[in-house]
Amino acid sequence: MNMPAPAAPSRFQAIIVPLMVASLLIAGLWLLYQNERSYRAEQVRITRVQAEILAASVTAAVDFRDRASAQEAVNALRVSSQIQSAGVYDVKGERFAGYQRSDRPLPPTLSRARQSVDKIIEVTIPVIRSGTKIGTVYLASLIDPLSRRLTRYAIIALLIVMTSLVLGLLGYNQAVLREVNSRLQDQAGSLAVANRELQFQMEERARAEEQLRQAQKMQALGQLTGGIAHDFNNMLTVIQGSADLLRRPGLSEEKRLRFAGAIVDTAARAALLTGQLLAFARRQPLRPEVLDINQRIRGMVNILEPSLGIDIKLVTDLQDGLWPVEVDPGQLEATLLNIVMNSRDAMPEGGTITIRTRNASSDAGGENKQAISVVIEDTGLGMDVETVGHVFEPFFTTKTVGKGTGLGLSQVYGFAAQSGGEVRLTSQIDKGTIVTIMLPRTDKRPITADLGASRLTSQGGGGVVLLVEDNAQVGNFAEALLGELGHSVLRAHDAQEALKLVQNGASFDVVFTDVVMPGMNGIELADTLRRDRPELPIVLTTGYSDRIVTTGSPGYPVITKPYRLESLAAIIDQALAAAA
Amino acid sequence: MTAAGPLSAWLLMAAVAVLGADVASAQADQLEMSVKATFLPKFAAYVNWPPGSLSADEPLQVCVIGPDPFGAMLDAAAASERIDTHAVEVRRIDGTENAAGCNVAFLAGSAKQGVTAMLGALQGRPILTVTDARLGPQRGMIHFSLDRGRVRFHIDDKLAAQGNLGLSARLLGLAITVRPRGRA
Repeated sequence: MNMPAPAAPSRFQAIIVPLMVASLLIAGLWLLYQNERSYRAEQVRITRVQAEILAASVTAAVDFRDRASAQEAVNALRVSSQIQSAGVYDVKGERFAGYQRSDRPLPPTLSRARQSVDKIIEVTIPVIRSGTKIGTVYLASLIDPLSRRLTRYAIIALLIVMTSLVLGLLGYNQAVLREVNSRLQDQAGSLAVANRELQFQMEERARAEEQLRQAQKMQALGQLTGGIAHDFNNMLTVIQGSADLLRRPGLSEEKRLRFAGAIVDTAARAALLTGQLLAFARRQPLRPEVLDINQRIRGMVNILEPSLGIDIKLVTDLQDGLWPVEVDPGQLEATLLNIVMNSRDAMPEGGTITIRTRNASSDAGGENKQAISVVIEDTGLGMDVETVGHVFEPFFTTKTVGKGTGLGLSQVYGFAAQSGGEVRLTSQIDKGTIVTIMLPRTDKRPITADLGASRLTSQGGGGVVLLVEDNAQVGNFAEALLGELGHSVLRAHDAQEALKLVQNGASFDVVFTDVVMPGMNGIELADTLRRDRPELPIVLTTGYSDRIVTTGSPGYPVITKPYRLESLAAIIDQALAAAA
Repeated sequence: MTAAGPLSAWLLMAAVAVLGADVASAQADQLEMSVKATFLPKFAAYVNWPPGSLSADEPLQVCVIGPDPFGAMLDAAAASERIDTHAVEVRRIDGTENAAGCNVAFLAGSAKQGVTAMLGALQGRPILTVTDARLGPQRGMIHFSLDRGRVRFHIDDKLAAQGNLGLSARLLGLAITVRPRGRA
């Protein structure tokens, strides 16, 4: 903050008051001196005026020698306490009329008038009638004694001193105020600086914390890869092995189905795992839907049961008329899977896992809150109190290295929180663990979607699909799938190739393109194609894409990798149907 | 010495006494006339003369109409007086027919013309008429009278008003009585 330099004006202000006081004092003293000097002259003047008035009033009396009249006129002056003696004299200087106070006798003749004394002023005024002097008036007046004058001066001086004091006080006050003001300004300035510093520190701290979190996340991710790689290897072993076995000639139908099923299920689990990872790295868009949880659970049982093994029994206790909730279906599935897998891991000797759903309402906070509770209960090893306290922390795991990532329950926690609900876990050693998820009821109606049970329901097939995929294996796989569905495939290995095909006049019904490709990406390709053919059906596919995740695909349907056959069929059919 | 001795002594003493008294009263009379003589010219200073009655350069005329009781005293008083720029002149006349030019007229009254007749003749003219109680009861504008041994005067302001003369209040204040000039 820039402060204006107060030095110059304040100095001026600092001297103005004393200057004023000094001038006032000097002026006062000078006035007193002048007054004193002119006092005597002033008094003489006053006395002369009095004498002149007397002279005028006795003119006729003197002229016609009327003593009584003259005496009357002279006596009028008695009211003045200052006049010591007053006398009227005839033209010869003889006393004609007059009076005197005790200590100042009136001279009988003018020639005998005494010399002036300091304390007395004597004046003589001629009595003139028509230009002729016919007599004289004599007045002797007392000057104010010095004591009286000094008293008068003292009063004036007092007034001046008081005024000066007031001025001085004002000036002092001003100075003090200025001082305080400048100090306050200084303080404000340093406060502002300190504040800025503090804010800066806070921001730094926040930044540092964020960086730390990121670093921790990175570190965790690094740590994860070990475990994940291990898990994936296992799954790949199953898939690889099953595929190898499938290649052998002369397989029985039963075996073929078994091996294919193994591949499908394992792939599904792998997909879930990648889903977990992505959720943790917060790169997955939440797409809540209005769901009937009971339906979803029923659908998942088919997937869950095989992976539980023979020793573990899965029981469902689902309340009829369960209220709908609005949650992301993928996240829901991942949540249930995580909990069930934990329960399975806690029962190496076998046991029972119960999934129970109920409608619940609470009056917490004075409002009638309606929610559903999803309870997963196991008869497993349980956890001690201390472990229960850490159980939702990311990377916290009780499993040995490579067996668990520690992400499962933290995903559950995140899912519950994001969906506006909560999760609670209770456990007892050797008794088992109960996980309760509360999800708020939604007023919207669920769309009954059939999942898992959908078979190859592609209506037509028979369309030409422009397949754009840079990865050879994935492209081959997709081509095989599409062929299986009854579509013919036009293959391009990147966006440029696709555009060239288009330019050369290739005809097709739908575009199925990967998003992340070298050069032009899938979204840009889609936009370019749409410019010429606005109605062109385009389906995007991606395993992981920043752009889609952060902005959502701009109006294009997206199928995420890995995709099942049914999903692919459905989305292609939908796209074709929409265009038709 | 014969038997007429004590009687003549008595007569002599009486004569002396009378003479003495005479002398004393004569002295008093002298003083009185002297004062009146000094007053006479002074009156003019307290008169508001109408325009034209007193010209600037000419002396002020004090006339004695009839036998002069003042004599040299009046001349002396006139000589020593100065009214503004005017000197004072004394004129002695025997009748009012010669009164033109007078400013102040002392009406002595004579066998030829009595004071009353003089007053009548001068009425309405801008001449200050002065009479003396000694010489008669008729009063002019100013009428000398002794008051407890002092020379004072009565003033008839009404007569003065008739003659278009204004009299100073200071003069009126000194008078024994004042006949007011009436409603203004």
